[in-house]
Amino acid sequence: MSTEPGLSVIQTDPILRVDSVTKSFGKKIIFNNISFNVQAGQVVVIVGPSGTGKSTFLRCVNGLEDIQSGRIVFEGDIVNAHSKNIVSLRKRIGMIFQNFNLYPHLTALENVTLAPMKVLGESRKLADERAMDMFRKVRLEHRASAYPSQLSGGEQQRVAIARALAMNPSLMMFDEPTSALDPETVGDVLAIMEELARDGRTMLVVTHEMGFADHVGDRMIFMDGGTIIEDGPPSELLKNPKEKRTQQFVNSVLRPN
Amino acid sequence: MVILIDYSFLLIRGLGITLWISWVALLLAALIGALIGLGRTSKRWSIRFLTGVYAEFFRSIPVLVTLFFVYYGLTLLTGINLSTFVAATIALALEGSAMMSEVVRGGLQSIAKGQREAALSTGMKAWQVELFIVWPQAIRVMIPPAVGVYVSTLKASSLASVIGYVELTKTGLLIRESVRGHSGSLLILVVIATIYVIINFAISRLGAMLEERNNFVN
Amino acid sequence: MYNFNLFFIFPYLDSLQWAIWNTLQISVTATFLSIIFGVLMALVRLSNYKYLRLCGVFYVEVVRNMPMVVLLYLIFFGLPSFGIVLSGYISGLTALTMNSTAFMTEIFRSGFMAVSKGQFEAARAQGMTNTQLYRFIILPQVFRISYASLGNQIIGVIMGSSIMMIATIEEVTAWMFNTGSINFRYFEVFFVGGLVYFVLCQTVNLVRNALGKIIFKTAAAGGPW
Ligand SMILES: Nc1ncnc2c1ncn2[C@@H]1O[C@H](COP(=O)(O)OP(=O)(O)OP(=O)(O)O)[C@@H](O)[C@H]1O
Ligand SMILES: [Mg+2]
Repeated sequence: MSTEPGLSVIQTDPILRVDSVTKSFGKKIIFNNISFNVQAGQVVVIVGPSGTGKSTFLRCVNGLEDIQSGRIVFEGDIVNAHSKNIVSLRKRIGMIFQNFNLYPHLTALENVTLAPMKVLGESRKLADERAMDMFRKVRLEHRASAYPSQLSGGEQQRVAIARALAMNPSLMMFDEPTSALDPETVGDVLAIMEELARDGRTMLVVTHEMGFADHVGDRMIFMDGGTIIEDGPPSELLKNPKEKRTQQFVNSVLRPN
Repeated sequence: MVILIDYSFLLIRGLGITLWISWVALLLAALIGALIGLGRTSKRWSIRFLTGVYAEFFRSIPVLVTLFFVYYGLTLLTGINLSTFVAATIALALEGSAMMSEVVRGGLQSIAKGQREAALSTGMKAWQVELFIVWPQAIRVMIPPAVGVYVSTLKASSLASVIGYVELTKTGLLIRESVRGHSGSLLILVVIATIYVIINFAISRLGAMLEERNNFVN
Repeated sequence: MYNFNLFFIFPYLDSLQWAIWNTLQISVTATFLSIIFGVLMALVRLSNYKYLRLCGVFYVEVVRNMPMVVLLYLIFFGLPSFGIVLSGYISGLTALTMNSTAFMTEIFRSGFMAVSKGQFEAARAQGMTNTQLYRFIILPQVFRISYASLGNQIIGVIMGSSIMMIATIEEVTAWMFNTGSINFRYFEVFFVGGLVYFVLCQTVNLVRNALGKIIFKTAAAGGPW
């Protein structure tokens, strides 16, 4: 199901509402007055040049950074980095990082089962079983007992996806999940993300993979200089962007030099 | 050579006492140092400052001074006559805690920011993140330098001989007095020095091995 | 209850002044000597000759694994067996310098090892002699790399100088001990003596940080401030 803003007749409550959000570090404004909604089941791809605050934005949604003004509402709850209920909110949002951030002292399996056991209170048996389901999903069932240092980058990122999936989140956020990977393993990770999208997962993906954005994305948001320049169907943005800056960016990514 | 055999029992006992007192002091130092080290990574400026001053204070006060202060000063203050063992242990622990706080701070700061964030993003509470993710990794980083603190403490424990605590160094001095004569005097000092060098060298090698193993895993 | 009153220290300020002077004198001398010996020993440890290298390793491992008091006793009580009788001051200075040299050697050795091979080659390629090479290219870089640890070791020397009271040198710790056993005002004595050490060490820290900023433009490396 894909809901294009302003086109659908029956609009359900969005799963994520971003209302004129401003973020700054000290005097330095990272983004200013950003607004958009994400509907359940949508795959929203965020693109934009380096340093425009894409990562910072995802971190704000997860309450890892506070915001200076505006409101982020996730499933009806206001995201407040300093409130106690941020923990209950984070359980419902999965996050995948550019550099995986697997726990090096735990095996792949333990990486996946830790949060279900400690946060959701699942028994070890149940957590192990569900973790193995996740490993099958990311096609790594044979590597469950390996330590992160024994895995390739692509494998590590698939474990990170399994770790996020194990919490059964209602929103999954990806921050350049393939940027730190060798070219030959990028495809494996993208294929799994595509499957997740087909399963109907709501996803917010920061990436430079325009092919993925075009195939899998329902919507594409182009950010630059701390604001949203353009927001629409990926094919539109890629083929006939309305804004000049979008056009320049798309050209530079699709035809680098 | 003869005196060595005669006094070998005393020497072994002295070594045992030296290892024991520095071990007890190290454990105390680790406990205090962990708290101070945590404080030094605190978000609150005031806590960071106070714990920083604590560490810097003991780093700038010689062990011998701390030892005298605990032995004479605390006795005066509390009216309790501290035994030389207790006084030396407290002094070594205080000195060691400053070094340990540095070790703990370094260990905690060596854990990449992303580790905390990844754990938080799965909905763990702050204490769970520390307990399951940060400390298990940080401890591995802390162990090699903590071994260094043990060697320092072991060497510093020789100063307890100055207040009359009979550990390895004092044992050597007492034997020296009883044997008289220049040759025996030199021999016993060389033996004491050699024991320290061998023990500390072995412990340091162990620390280096642990460090190499760490590098290999990560 | 103990009545803390710094007035009791006044009669001993004269001797304190001498004690501080002695602490400073022996610390500065030992620091200076151990820096020179440390650089030389570091070169010995990095020498191409295996046996020379081994001698360096032996010296460093033996001295730094031995408590300084024991080293001092060896010099003070042991050397007379060979007919060498040194004064308390010379014995103390020797022990402090030998001890510090072992640590300085390690500091400079890692400094030398951190200077890349390319630096030697680039300088030689420009036709520099060995002396020029070390004087203008290598040593400045070594000092820059070793700078922060050097400050720590200077503080180590000041801490170590307290042990010199055992060699009957009238430095600050000896002053504390002696004054305390005369007037039994231990708290005042320790307060003043402790303050002297704290100020000395923090001065080293501050000078190191300030100088580091000026010379190398590096960030502060120590102290709670
Ligand atoms: N903790 C911080 N303090 C100050 N500035 C920060 C902090 N974190 C990020 N920034 C700044 O915020 C800006 C946006 O950073 P961010 O990482 O969000 O960009 P990005 O769009 O994800 O870029 P990239 O594509 O390189 O990942 C950058 O200029 C960065 O320097
Ligand atoms: Mg980023």
